[in-house]
Amino acid sequence: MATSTQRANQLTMADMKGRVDPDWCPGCGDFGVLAAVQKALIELQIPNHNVVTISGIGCSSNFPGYMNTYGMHTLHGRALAVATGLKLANHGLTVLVTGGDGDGFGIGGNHFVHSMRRNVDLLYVVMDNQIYGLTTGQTSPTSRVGMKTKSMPFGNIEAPINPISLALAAGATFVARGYSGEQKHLTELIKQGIEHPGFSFLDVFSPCVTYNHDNTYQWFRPRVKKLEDDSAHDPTNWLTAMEKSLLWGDEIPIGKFFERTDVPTLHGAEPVLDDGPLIHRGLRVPTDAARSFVEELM
Amino acid sequence: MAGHIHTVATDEHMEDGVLISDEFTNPVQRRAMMEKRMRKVTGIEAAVPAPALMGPRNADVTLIGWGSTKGVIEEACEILNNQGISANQLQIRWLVPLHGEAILEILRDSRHSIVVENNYSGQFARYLRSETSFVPDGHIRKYDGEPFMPHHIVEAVKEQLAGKTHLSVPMHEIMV
Repeated sequence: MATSTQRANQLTMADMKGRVDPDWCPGCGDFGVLAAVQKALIELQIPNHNVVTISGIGCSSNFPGYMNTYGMHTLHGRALAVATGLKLANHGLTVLVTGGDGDGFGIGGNHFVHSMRRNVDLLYVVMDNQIYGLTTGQTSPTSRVGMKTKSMPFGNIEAPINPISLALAAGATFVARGYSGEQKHLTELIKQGIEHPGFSFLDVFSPCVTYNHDNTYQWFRPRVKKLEDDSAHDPTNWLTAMEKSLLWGDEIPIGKFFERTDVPTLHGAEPVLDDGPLIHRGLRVPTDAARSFVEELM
Repeated sequence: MAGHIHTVATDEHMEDGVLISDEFTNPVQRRAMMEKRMRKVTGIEAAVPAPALMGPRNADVTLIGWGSTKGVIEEACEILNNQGISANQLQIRWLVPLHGEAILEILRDSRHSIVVENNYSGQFARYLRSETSFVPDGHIRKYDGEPFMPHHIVEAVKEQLAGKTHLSVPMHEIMV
């Protein structure tokens, strides 16, 4: 983007901070994700007025309020639907969608699958804490079998979804997993996801220190292994990426599972947008006709 | 656009989009935002037309309906008028905001009022009562999954004007 170099090396953390501080619990994994997103934008030197952060509902969905970018705090599970519309209306913008596992995989499961299939050009960061935190601790779509919560006091009886496998199967063109406790690695993944042309899915382990006592920092730390440290890992190979996505236990891979750049983005494939973003084009309706139409609606 | 950054928020927020719904709250602003929202409701009530009576004034019976019953009540009124029972209809198109005073003004003059609605518990009659304190003389309800037909309403009106009941539940004829 031509405008991205306009203010090169001038953006600082202070430029990215919203006007209120997060109300997350002390120690929440989301702090690490917020910092990594802000750092990534600074390192890429994307002017904050060219960025939109869109979320649904949940602890992590207050994210746009803590960023100094354009923001939309939308309905539960609907962030990707709003983001798709926004990207088609003004595809010159960098679109970040943020939220949690409940919002994205539960309430918004439908939008998740179809946004990937459509290859909407955006970065979707899911702060995955494997629990519903805002509603004080119920089983979520990524809670492990047997996990005891307020809604399943005898242990979860439902198999969790595997977001990485699901994203690969649904046709996401960039699939990665990060960990809030690995700042540099996470920042790098966010940068790659922003720069990737197409749908970038980034599932981030973001421990809930208040309601999830199973999947803690202590639980993740010895298990997470970076795919980047595995010289045999080839992120262009979909089949091995799928195999790696199934690993869960003593070793859990984090990093970039898969990327392909040969699939057209939704806005790239849409012939109507060949002449540039819709937002910069005239209505092609006479001003007085447009005005009378608006007045009719009022 | 540079210099125009803001957040579009669904939670309570200030005029420039800053969230004030959680611990960063501001009781003065929150109250101002609530009052602003409620002023919009008053604005809508003034901007949309109040309901009006359809059919002859000073009729023997006023049928009150809302939504999909409009046409069938109109047909029932025609039949009743042809049979010498003058009937008119008050069709409510705006439920929220409800034009309570205009509705009361109309119903104050009605000789016999009946709410016609397609549900078991009289949802609209209850809502009308909670908003205006108006209690109708009778009810015609149907809850068999089928729509009203004109003769259902005509016969119910007749039995209610004859003082037989305050609640008619017409039986839907099965036509194969």
